[in-house]
Amino acid sequence: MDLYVIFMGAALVNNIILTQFLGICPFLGVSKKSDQAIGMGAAVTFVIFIASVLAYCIYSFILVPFEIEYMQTIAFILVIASLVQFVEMVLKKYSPALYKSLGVFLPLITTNCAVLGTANNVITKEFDLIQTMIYSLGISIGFTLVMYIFSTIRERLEQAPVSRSFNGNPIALITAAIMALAFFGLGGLV
Amino acid sequence: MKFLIAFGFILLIVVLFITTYVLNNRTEKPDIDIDIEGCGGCHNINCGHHPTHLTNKEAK
Repeated sequence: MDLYVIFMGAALVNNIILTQFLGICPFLGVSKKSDQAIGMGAAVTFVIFIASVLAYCIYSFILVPFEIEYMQTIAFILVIASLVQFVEMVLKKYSPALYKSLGVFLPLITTNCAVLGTANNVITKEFDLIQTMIYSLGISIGFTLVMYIFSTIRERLEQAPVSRSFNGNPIALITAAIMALAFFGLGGLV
Repeated sequence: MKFLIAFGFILLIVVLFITTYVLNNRTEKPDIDIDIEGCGGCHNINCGHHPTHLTNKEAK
């Protein structure tokens, strides 16, 4: 399969948040400020990329040869959890401000279904290593892009005269729905 | 034999997780207070410290 098609498909056409509806928790929780959204996107990008490559390697070189494929899910979850601990450790040391601003959402990357979903997709779609890398990169760039766009819209919404009943989460969900419709328009891109 | 391999594999990943967890817990949490008032400010509305992002309680 063409790498360009895999990348564009993962990033825009089959966007993990707006089309597959995975990773909604950080999408709504950490999208009030664009700097936080970018930080979260960067952390998730790192975790998705490394977790997918590791998942591919574990599945191809350990689980399949020893015929223990049934351990796929638990193996992936533990690898993702270890990666998140590592990311948390690095942020504590090198980016304390980002660590503070991400707060509880940082350890919650472990339970971010986008990460496990990408690792599982890589296996079910039977990608090779290069395709896995391109796919996971596309997914994570798509995730970060949508997080950033949504956060900038929410910042504008804070200044907008929204009626009381729609203020806060309702208007955020309506915005997300309109964004999802807009991303459907990219269907003919690949 | 397959059971032993599966058990050993899971044990390995669990040890990996416990190691990273312990290392993470031992890493000191940053103790920073961002001084919003002291920020000279670029007045960029995208900045998280821009006054418009403060809640009513914080503003008081």
